[in-house]
Amino acid sequence: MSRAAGEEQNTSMISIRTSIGQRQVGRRQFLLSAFFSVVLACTWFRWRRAQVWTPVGGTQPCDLETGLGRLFGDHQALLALGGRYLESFPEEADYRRLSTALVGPSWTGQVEDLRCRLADARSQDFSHDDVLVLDGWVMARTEGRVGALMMMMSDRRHVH
Amino acid sequence: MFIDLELAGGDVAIDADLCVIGAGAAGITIAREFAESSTKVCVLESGGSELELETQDLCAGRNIGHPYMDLDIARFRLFGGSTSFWGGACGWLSKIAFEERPWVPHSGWPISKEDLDQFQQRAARFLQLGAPLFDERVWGELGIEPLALDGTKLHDCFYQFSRDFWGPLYIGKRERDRFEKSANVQVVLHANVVNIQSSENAAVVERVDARTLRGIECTVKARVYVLACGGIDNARILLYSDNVEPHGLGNRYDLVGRFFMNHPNAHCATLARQGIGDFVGRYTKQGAADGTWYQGYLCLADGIQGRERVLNAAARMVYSTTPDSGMTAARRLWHKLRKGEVPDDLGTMLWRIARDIDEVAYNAYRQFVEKKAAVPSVGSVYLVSETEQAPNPNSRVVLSRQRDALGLPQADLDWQLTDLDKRTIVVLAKTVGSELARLNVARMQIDDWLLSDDGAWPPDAGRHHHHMGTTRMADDPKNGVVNRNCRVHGIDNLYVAGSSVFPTSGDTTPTLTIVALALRLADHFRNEHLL
Repeated sequence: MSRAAGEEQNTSMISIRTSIGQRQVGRRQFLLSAFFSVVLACTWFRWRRAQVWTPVGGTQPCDLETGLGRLFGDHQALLALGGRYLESFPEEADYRRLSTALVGPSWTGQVEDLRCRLADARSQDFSHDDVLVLDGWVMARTEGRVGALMMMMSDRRHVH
Repeated sequence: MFIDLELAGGDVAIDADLCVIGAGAAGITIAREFAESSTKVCVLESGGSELELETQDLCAGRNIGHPYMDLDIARFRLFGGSTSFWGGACGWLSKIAFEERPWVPHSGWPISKEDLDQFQQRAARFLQLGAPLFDERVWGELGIEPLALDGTKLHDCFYQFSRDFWGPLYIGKRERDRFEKSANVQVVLHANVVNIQSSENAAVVERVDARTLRGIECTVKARVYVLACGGIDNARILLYSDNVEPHGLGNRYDLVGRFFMNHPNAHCATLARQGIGDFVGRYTKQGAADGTWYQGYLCLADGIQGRERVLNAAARMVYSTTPDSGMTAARRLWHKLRKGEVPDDLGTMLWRIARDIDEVAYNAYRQFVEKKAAVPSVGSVYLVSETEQAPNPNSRVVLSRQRDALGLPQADLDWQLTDLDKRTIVVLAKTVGSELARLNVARMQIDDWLLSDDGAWPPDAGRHHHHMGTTRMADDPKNGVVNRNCRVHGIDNLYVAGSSVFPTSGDTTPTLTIVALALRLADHFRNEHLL
């Protein structure tokens, strides 16, 4: 091999320092490895994010009715208890008042945010002994209010 | 030694140092303490070695208050008493049960919990229990992480089970041999006490008269007498021993028979089945590595009792199984074999066991190898309340006009419950339901009868054989029948043993406390050189 060909061959190699010394790899080999590593890392990252961090019910903002529906589904038992809640507390049979009591005035529209707010409110209810008994079922007031609000939403759907 | 009075051939007169009337848990404990000593002990037992219908009929009487089981099956007359048929569950009274609580009239013991704690270990040994653990420390023994209960509302308590290989420990069977061989303890069977004869001023007991159903008589003269016949008959015997004091012995202030208490256990809630698996396994009966069997239950904390002004209360979990399942058949067969009996429907039982052999085999492995409770196919899961009853002077044992086969007045039971008793269960159910919901462990539906304000109780509330309070303990004779050493006020040598001396009932089973008090009484006799 001539000296010029040898020098050309040497500049196409990249020296990579490893824990056991230096290793010579081809530039193409290195670039391809790096590219696929990044692709794999991004894929893993997106997969993990989807497993752990995907907000309940998606990331698009929605209205309260949609949000509750995504959290609880068409839960007949919850609707029935909601009806009982409204019978027991008729003064709360006001849509705006009930929704404000549940999510406050500044809800972001994100279902995950809704889930967290309801969970916090439920926890506060138990801490302050704001516990109800509806048809014998023991529950936090927030749970009763959720059922009541869903009941009112269901009624509105049927009327319209 | 055992003497069967029916076979004595003629009337019998016995002189002893100590006369114990009744051979149940309390009577046997006291007599056993003096076995192989120089004290001459005579034990008078109404029944024989086995249950006899004719003798059981002497327990007949009427329920004239809250519905309760027939009185002739509410207690048992034989050597060993009601511990010949019990389930073996033993608990220990909480501190608050001994304290005077302003919201519980007539509450407070004249002794402290610490006074009785000294006897806990000995009592536990007598009943073949493990180390005296009845609280959250048991979870460590079972290797189970406890629920993160709010300690201001609920805490875990445990029963231990007094048992041998076959099941609940039958004290009479275990002790029979000891008393048979004892030179200084005479057990007189079929000896029904018809009178406790006191002196003219009723200051001392001079003798006890007993008689068999066939009319053979027995007279016992002793230095010290202990009445140990249970909560109904202790009162009954004092009341009909009235030939010196017309209202009965020890009854100058009309307290004998009053303050009858039972534990008004009742079905109080149903649990939703979804997601409940861990909770069922956690609070069922299960064994620890040292062979001790425990069952957990949820108790109202002292703080919430004070805030809500309610009584001691606990909730335990029970589940129903299918009556024709292989597990039900296996259990029945086991109990029959233990008694040495062959069931009439043996073929049907064996078929059901074979049909469900997978479930039976698995649960047999769990029970005998892993020392865990069987978990058969569960139908429904319930909560049952085990609550203290408020001391109530109007809840009482009285003498009936009806007479038994010996010509003695029967006992009528006028069991009375109050609003406080029911309200306690309501608070218990709501508190347990709230905690289980908060922890996302289980969802609970409280029974309708607890949600109504009409004061009604379900007809089967209170199926326990726990008869307490009818000769309650108090320092002041105007407030109690016996003093803090269980001596009848005004009578120098008459004592009472058993749950009739409890001023309050607590929310747990009484047998361990009965044995501890009996040991304490035996020590008192020794320490005061009365024997």
